[in-house]
Amino acid sequence: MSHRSMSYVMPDAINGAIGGAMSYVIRHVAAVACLMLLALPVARAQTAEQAQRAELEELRRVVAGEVQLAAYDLVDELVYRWNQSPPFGEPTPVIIADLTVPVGMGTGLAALVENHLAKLLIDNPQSNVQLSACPSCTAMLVHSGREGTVVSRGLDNPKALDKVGGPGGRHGLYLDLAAEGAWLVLRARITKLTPDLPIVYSQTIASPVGAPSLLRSSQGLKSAAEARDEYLDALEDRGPYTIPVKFAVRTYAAADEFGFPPAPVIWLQTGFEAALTQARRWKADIVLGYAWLPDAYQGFMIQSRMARLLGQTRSLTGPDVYLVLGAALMTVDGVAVAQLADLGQSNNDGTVSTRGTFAGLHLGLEMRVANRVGATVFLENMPAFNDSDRIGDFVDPFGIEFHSFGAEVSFCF
Amino acid sequence: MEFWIYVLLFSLPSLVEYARDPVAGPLAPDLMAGAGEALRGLDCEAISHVTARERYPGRVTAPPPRGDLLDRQAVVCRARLMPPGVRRARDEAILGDLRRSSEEMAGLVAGLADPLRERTWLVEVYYPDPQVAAKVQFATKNALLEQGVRVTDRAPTLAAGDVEVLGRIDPQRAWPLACTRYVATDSLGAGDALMGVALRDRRATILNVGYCADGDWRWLR
Repeated sequence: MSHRSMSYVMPDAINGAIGGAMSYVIRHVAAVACLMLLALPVARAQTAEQAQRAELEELRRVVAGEVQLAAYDLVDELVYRWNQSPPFGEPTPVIIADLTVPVGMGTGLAALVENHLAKLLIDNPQSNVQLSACPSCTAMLVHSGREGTVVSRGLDNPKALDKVGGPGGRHGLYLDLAAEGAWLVLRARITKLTPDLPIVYSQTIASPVGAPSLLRSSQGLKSAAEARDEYLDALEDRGPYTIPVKFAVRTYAAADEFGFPPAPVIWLQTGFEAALTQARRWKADIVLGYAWLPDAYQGFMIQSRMARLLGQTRSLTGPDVYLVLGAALMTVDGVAVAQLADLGQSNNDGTVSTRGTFAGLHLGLEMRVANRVGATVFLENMPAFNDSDRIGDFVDPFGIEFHSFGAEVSFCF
Repeated sequence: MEFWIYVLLFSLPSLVEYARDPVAGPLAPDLMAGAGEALRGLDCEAISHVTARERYPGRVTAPPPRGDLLDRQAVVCRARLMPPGVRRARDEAILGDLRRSSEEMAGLVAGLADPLRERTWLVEVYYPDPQVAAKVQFATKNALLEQGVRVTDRAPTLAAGDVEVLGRIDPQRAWPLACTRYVATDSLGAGDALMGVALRDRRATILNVGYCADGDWRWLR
């Protein structure tokens, strides 16, 4: 019984204690939950507002990123115009008085544009605008006089500026970038820092959204028209015709029966090359060649080639590769190339002739750099030596015997 | 029946033209998909067919060599630099058209009779947002200079007491009073004139222009 009663008493006591604690916790949790529920709309509102603000900041950052290149382009254009028509007759110290960016963007963009402008002015002394530092010009000055106490920037109060050893008659450059609809507008004005503060120069330049930035080099600034002319010149290079001078070497494969190959023949070639299209995707040449090695051989040749650019456009900075297909007619004479001689021919004195005249069809790759220097490797089939026991082949894909392997270096004039 | 066939045949070219109209035509998918949002973020201008051909030779077809029965125009739309919502609507309205409006305002001063026009002009802008006010002032000064008017960066000043009084009265009366005080305090000399640009009604998106010379204030717009 006691055990029973104990068994009842103990759980009741425990239950009571636990129940009290539980109800305390539940009451507090409920109270906190109620408070949280009550606070939820406010928190949600704050979160939504913060999210909206963050989204707006992100949007501003993206816009500023897009505007930066356009802003650089406008500043380039401004300095280019100064180069063409300087605002001063002689080099004149100018202080960057103010640079403002479109409303809605941060000052980070202003710092970037200011640095870009400084670099441009240093690289373009012919603009006659010399950057000058003047800490007191942009500092706030407090000046007391008969008219009262005036608090202003030094630039805005030249009288006060003079008293603190200001620039004295220098000029202040004011720049403003504004986003107006689909246009980015740069306004510039130069003010003479005398008490009258006359504006001596102003310029407004606008660029539409989506206009590609010229990405001009800070040295040797050019207009869009000049840049286009230079680009066309680079594309056309020196016109469609060139005179190539080539040093070529042709090596020959040894026939199994003969044991050793003819000596390699070194050719000096020159002729005429023409680009068949404006973009030089197709070109053709015809050259005459001469080969001579004392007591070894002498030869003459005529060769013609067609070449097709591998790729869509020629590179203005890197090498281009062309697929080359050509034909050559060669005649060589000499003991070093006796295997190439025509069979059954003899000289006037009755000795066996070492002169050989034969044609070759070659296929190769040419690497050309800026239409000035080139290097070519090719494989050549000489039909007269198919199944020959005097000349072998290096490779014979699809049954075509390539008897000769050649390499050449060319210089174009 | 034949009559209606004739009507259909005659109107067919016009119907095709209308369908292909990139702005109002039913086959204008880019604009019609979310038209409201898309149009709000665009800055559009109508230009002649010939100009459009010059500017976009690959995208605008050449006019027919024997002329065209229709008066064709091209509408060039560009995305606004600042997407909607980044700036306040009123600021956007003022700044979005600042080049044209500043030229117009400067034209009012440049069009004044010679003794006034030849003066040195100071420019003062009243706008609730100082950043926008600075932009308007910059644009107006440049526009004045481009129209051959002499301009200075000098700002007219007033005593603290004047500022306090002027701040309490409405702009309609404040500008003439300020003008009188500028001259009385020699802030505006005999060879100077002040061009005032103000937003007289906070709900408006048109800036008003006036000038102060010899103590007299006149509204130009």
